[in-house]
Formats: sequence, structure tokens, C-alpha cells
Amino acid sequence: MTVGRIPSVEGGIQPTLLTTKGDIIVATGNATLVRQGVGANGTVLTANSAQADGVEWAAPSAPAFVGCALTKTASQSTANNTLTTMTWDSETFDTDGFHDNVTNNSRITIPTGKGGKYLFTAIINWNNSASGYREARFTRNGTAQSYANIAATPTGEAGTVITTILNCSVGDYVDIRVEQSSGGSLDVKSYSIFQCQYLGA
Amino acid sequence: MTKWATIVATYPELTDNDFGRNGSIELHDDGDGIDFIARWEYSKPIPDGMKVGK
Repeated sequence: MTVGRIPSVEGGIQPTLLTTKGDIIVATGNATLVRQGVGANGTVLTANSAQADGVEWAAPSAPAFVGCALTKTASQSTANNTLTTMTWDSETFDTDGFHDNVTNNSRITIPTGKGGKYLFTAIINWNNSASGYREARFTRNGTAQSYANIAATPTGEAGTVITTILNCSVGDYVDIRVEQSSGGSLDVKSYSIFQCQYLGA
Repeated sequence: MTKWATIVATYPELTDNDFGRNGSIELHDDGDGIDFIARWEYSKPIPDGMKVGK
């Protein structure tokens, strides 16, 4: 390809207006063109009416995080062989009203305008017991979505970790239900967590 | 006494495998600490004083 100057014609744009690789031409008003010099590496052209030519180069802003992280202020007892819905009465953060600490506090509910794919994660920390299994499941609108099931550890506490990606509509709610077979009631510890992150539409 | 404890006291032949999503009896707690029978498909009747649901 041959690179060179475009011959000037009356009413055309003088190529000498541009001086540097990456320069562009913008208007400051009706039929008034100026050079907008290339911005620094990594910047993006951004509209700004306060600028004479209406645009500026600016660092791209990070997309705002959307999601919530929930925990418990106290242990929750679960009866043996009984599917128990976990409640969450404390929010580490909640960007868009996904959760209420009191009303339906077992649920993460998809708010208006936020339908789409979500990553859900839960860590269920069980009190000490060496017997039976520990299970956790995600349910959406009361229907089971996925399970994690582990055997109790011979010593110490067991943690059930479960994660999934769900395509959720506005108003859908997701909760965590757990079950254990230790032979008696067993606590889920207060430092268990339940969280979600919006991934995209 | 939990519902599970009452049921196994009535039917001591029951094991863990008889409970839960793969068993014939499902017990639930909606998070309010009240356990109840959500499903009863065991071959014997529900123990006296108990019912399906809250």
C-alpha cells in the first residue's frame, strides 16, 4: 500500500491537520474541525461536553461490581436427616438489594434490571462430628439445582463448599439447604458464607 | 425431640438411607427451627400425632 498525502481540494480536509499516529479529527461545532491528538496508551475516547471539542481521552473505568455476600451472626442447628434452609442475618455487602437480613433472609433475590448469569458460592462450616455425611444444595424458587455431598471427617470440623452458575430472571430467588446424618442435631457455624456475583446478561 | 428422633423411635428399622431425597421419608426445616414431614412414602403409617406438612 502506498502511503502519502491526499491532494487538497477546496472544501476538503487538509491532511496536515494530523501530525501523529493515532490522531483523529473531531468537530468543535458546525463544520469546524480540529485535531484530537492520540491519547496515552490504554485510554479510551470519552464524550465530555466541558471540553472544547466535546471529547477527551480518559482511563477506562472498571465495571461496577454487582452482587452480595452474606454470613451469619450465630450458629444454626440442623436436625439429623432433615433438609434445613440456611438463614443469613448479616451482609458483608449487597450492591443492589439482593437480600434482607430479616424478611426471607434465607434468600438471594434477583432485583429489577439485573436478570442474567450469576455465580453463586456457599461455604457451609459444620460443627465437629465424625459421623455421617454433610450435604448442601442450591435451590432456585424452591427447586434443587446442584448438590455437594461429603463424608464427615474423622476429626475436626467439615466444610461443604458448593458453587454454580445460574441463569436467573428478575424475581428468582436462590437459597442454600443443607442436610446431615451425624446421628443427632448438628450446628452450622456462624462463619459460613453465601454469596453471588453478577456475570452478565 | 426432633421429628427424626420420634420417627426412628417408632420405626427403629429405619436407616439414614430411608431419609432424604433418595429415601422414602423427607424431613424439612424452612430455617425457622421447626422440622416437619415434607414427604412420607414409607410402607408403614405416619406415627401417631404427626402429619405431612407443618
